[in-house]
Amino acid sequence: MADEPQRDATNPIPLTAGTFDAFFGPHLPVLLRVARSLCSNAQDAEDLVQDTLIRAFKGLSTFDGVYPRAWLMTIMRNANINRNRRQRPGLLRDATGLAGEADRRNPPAPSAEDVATAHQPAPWIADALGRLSERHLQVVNLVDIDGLTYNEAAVALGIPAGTVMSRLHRARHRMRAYLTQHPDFRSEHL
Amino acid sequence: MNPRGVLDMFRRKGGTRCTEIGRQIQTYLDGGLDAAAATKVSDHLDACRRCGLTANDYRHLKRALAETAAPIPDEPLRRLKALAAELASGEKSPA
Repeated sequence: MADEPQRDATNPIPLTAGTFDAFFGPHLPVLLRVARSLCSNAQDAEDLVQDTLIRAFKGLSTFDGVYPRAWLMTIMRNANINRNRRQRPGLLRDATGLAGEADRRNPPAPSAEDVATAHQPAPWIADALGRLSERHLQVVNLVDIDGLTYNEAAVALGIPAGTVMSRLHRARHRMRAYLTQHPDFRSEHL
Repeated sequence: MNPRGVLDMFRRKGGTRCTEIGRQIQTYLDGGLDAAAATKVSDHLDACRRCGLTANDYRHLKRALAETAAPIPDEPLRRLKALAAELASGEKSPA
């Protein structure tokens, strides 16, 4: 699962302030998708991506010209940590900025947009996802659902790629162990 | 030979033990193995029904998870693209 540089001879866009949107615009859908995995609601996710874009623009001179998605993920991760610190300064959070147990027990009410865009997976897959720990659920979300590489997910979460892989494999192993007992899972592919 | 050894002998297909392949199936499906290791796993999956079924379960799970990705609505994307364009044009200060 190697990350491919996205700026090379076949991409002639010169990276300047004026071409910021042309260069980074194509990555907005995946940034928003990942932000939705990191945040508790759609509005926070959009705010986080806005914050990321502004920080990226300010830090354009530090961008080395390759791996723009990974660069943006790093900025988004740091922005997310800062946002969490600002919102709850008294609450110690881990470096990944994961939602804590308190968040899980008292999730914020969904906005109209959350409700309108809610996507309902098949009940059996929702059951299996619901049994995962927060850490396992997050890597499954980022890699298997959002389509990030191990390395991109590692950057987004601030953990080693090997940890992403081991969490992901363990999560899938547990999901499979549960799903092989589920009649809908087996009947769909056997 | 102890019972586990006999079991392993039965499970040895294409010169590779199931336990060894079992540790590599997910990495193989994610495209994370080099060509030689991928061929070894692929040969084993073709020859061993048990490991082949395990791989099918993981393929099905990965496909089902990919299909749960909620579509990103147009409106927030439009607003974000507009912000990127404003930053690029200098209409909006990043302060």
